[in-house]
Amino acid sequence: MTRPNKLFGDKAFELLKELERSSQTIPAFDDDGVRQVLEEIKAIFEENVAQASTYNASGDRSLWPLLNYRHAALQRNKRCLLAYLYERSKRIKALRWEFGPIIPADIKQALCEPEVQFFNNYSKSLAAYMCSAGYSQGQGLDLTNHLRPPKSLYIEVRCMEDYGKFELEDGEVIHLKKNSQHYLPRAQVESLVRQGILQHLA
Amino acid sequence: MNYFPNYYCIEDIFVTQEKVECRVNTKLQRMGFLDAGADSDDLEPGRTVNLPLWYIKELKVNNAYFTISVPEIYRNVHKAVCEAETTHIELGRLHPYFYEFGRYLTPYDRNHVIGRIIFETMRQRVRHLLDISKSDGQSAKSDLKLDNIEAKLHEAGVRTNSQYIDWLQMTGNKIRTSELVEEHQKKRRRADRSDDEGEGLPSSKRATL
Repeated sequence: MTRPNKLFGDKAFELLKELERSSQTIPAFDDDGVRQVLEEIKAIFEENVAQASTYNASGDRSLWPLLNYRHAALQRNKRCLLAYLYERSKRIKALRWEFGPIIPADIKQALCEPEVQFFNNYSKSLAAYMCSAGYSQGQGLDLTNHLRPPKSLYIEVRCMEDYGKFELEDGEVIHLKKNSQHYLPRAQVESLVRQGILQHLA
Repeated sequence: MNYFPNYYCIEDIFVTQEKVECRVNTKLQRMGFLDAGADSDDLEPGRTVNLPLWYIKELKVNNAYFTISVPEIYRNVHKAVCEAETTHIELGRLHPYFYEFGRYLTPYDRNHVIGRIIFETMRQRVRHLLDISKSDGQSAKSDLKLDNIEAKLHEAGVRTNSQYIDWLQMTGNKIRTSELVEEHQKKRRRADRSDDEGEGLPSSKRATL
């Protein structure tokens, strides 16, 4: 029992510290860490169950503080773990708004399978909502567009990378090559600017 | 920055991870593992142990097992508060979560001063905080001077200020690359560069060999 410095809950805290250190982007899902915390919870629970039953039988209160401490540790682990998952899901939701419906491959790598599923479901719900929002006009409303009030219908943009063909709503196709400059309808290119492919020139 | 932290609040979890010094009052069977210096299985009365706040929170204030002692930092600040000289204190160095930690400790403070201390400290410092937020910030800001809440207030202040200036100059409607995307691109560029260096290095080694 006298393992050095065994306060419980440290591993779970590590998970959160790691997450917090990478301020906005998502670090790789720590499978191993989560499993270790779950194991700790299970171990604490089993010890407590064993002790609680002897406590019930004998009414011996001398072990009560230990029982209480371990229960608090168990709750603590649970809280850390849930906060870890919750914070990640919050960042995944932000991805949908910032990057659009497709996650860049290197970010996708950092997600675990249920999280990818979560992203897809979230994306789907959002799309469904956006379709229904502008239904009276016969077409959906893209909520990720028009984040700032427009001053003009057309804006001047410079292309930051070789993007390839881009088709405008009137059917005209333009080639977005690196360092080329264009004069395009603001509404249709806003998302490209947000994704860093185009730069809005003053 | 959250005055009423919820269950998932990561900052609150950070605060409650802090350790507080406690004196043991009664013999606690098989809890010797809490005391790194103990050689027995039990925790003997009279020892002092550092317990995490998340456990202390669960105990009653007048519990029979531990007496919680208030950390030094709040006693030191007390003097400065009396002299109304808190703006020069490096709160971040004292404790990164000065206010929130203090809030949790208030019930255990028998002299009932912590509550007043954290209130007065904030009251005296908030004006200064406003001033440094307005003056662009980066120059006046030192990481150790501000505690967590203050740093966030400062950040919000600087951001609001720059938005206000944008609005005055009518540059606010320009579409910008989203912050997340920008950070991601920077990271990718850094990764690319280190890849290049990684490839460059072995070849130069080979040349010297």
